[in-house]
Amino acid sequence: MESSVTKSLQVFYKNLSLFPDSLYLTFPEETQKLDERVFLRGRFPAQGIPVKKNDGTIPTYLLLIHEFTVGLDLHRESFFDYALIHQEVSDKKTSENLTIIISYTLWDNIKQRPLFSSIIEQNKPIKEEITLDDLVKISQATAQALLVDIQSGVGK
Amino acid sequence: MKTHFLKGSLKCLLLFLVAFIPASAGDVFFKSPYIIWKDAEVLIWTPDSIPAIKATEFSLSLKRNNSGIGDPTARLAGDWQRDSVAFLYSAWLKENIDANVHAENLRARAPGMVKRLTESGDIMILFITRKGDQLYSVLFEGESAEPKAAGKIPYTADSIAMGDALAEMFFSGHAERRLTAEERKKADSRPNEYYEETPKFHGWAGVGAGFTQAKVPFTPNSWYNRKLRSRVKSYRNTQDSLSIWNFLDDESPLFSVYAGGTWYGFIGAELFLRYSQHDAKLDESDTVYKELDHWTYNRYEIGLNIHLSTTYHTASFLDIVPYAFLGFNYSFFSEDIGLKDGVKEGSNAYNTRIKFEDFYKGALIGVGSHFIFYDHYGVDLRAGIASRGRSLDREPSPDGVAEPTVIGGSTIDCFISLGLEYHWSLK
Repeated sequence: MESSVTKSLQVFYKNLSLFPDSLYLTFPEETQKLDERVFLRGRFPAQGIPVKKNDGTIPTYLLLIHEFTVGLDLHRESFFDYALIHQEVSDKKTSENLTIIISYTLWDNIKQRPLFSSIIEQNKPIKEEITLDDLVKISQATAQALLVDIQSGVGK
Repeated sequence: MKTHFLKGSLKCLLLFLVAFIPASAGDVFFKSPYIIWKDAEVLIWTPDSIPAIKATEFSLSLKRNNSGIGDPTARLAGDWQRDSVAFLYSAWLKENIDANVHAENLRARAPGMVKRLTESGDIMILFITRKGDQLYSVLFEGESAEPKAAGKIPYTADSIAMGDALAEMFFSGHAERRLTAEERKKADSRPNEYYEETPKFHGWAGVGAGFTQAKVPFTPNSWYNRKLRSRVKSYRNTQDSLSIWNFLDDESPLFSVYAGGTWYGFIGAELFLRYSQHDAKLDESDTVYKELDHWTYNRYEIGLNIHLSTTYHTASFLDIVPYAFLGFNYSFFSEDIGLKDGVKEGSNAYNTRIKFEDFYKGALIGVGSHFIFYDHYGVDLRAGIASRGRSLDREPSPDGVAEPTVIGGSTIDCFISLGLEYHWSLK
């Protein structure tokens, strides 16, 4: 799934390079407020220290993916909306959708400040059973949504 | 039509906004309320190798700009500049400070830096940095990792002029006295107004001295003239006997002892004992008084007040508790009379002189305030109106109409009293 997301992103961003999770885990954990009620918890690079690549160059932007949740019939409000977070969910026998919820931040690595944060919910209807192909497809769709989101977010 | 109106009102609003922004040489990006301390200690913090303003000159600029600021001191934040965490943040701040950046986006995030800023107490931190031909400045004050104000001024070689401009931009306005370490500690630990601990029971005991008179201030003299001018002839005769002030002098010092308490800082009760002395008003033209040495009455009043109060914590050492009270009292007039030496037996008039009732029932109402210093030592000021008169709870007898008027059936006076008290609280 990870590779299908990165592949989809690389179509647009030619010199995309991947940092390992271990680097992300060294950043201090913080809470970011997106909206009156929507909070995102994630790790952000420290102030004053730009993240460097192995060859010593400093990338201009970082895409920090805080959470990548795969499940059935999920709603992003249930995860991130402060007012709806403690809702109880009734037991279900069947599910209609395969869902991916992704929370991310586009980070200005030169100035060390967030440019844009968002939470995306991507659904794919389940026909009969979930195959590996479905997972790849929904990952690609998520990557597309991410691209659209970033483009519109930067445009703002 | 509607949009035209909207546009018009927006323009008006803009004009107003422009009119209300004070003229300043600098360009202020944002400014949220902060306290300018008197005798301020300002830390000038800069990532630049040569500071744009000099500390000593800046303290003089502060003094010139704001006459109420006392004796401010400014110094360079040497230890901040050497500290690696603070240096990283200052480099970041220099990179990020810009006209359209909000205060929340300039917040320090590194825990070490947050600690440094929040623990600076009442020291004001002025961050300055030169970017091109502009001098950017950010002000930190109080226990917040978020800057309170930011702005820029044109950079010149004249450091005094820049210091003056910065002082005008950030340090104009009313300066407040700096709290002592102890006061600050107390202010920090004080719960906010929505969660103030009110003691379950708060008690006091005190002694008071004051003055009482029949005339209530701001009321017409005509209400009292008849009573106050009245004199007693041959030990018992007056025009009117409804008020005791027809017989006795109403003006007297008043002494009291009292103890009371309030529950939950709101409702309370107080027991009191009051004493005053009143001379009989003799008609000096009556020769019957030649035998008389003195004739006075000691008035004792005992009663119970219901208190309604509220507490204001004004300063760390002073609580002010205004209250209103309503109560009842019993009045006893105890006679003190004596004939001159050598007069063996009083005249007939002396023996049949006026007698007051054994006791009178009355009510009192008033307002006051406790001023409690250091939780225990109180000064109390109160004023009110008290009455005493006929017992109204007696069954009217069938021949009540024929009965003579009860002497002193309606005796009213007002009082003012200053008390010294001791207070204590049970949590």
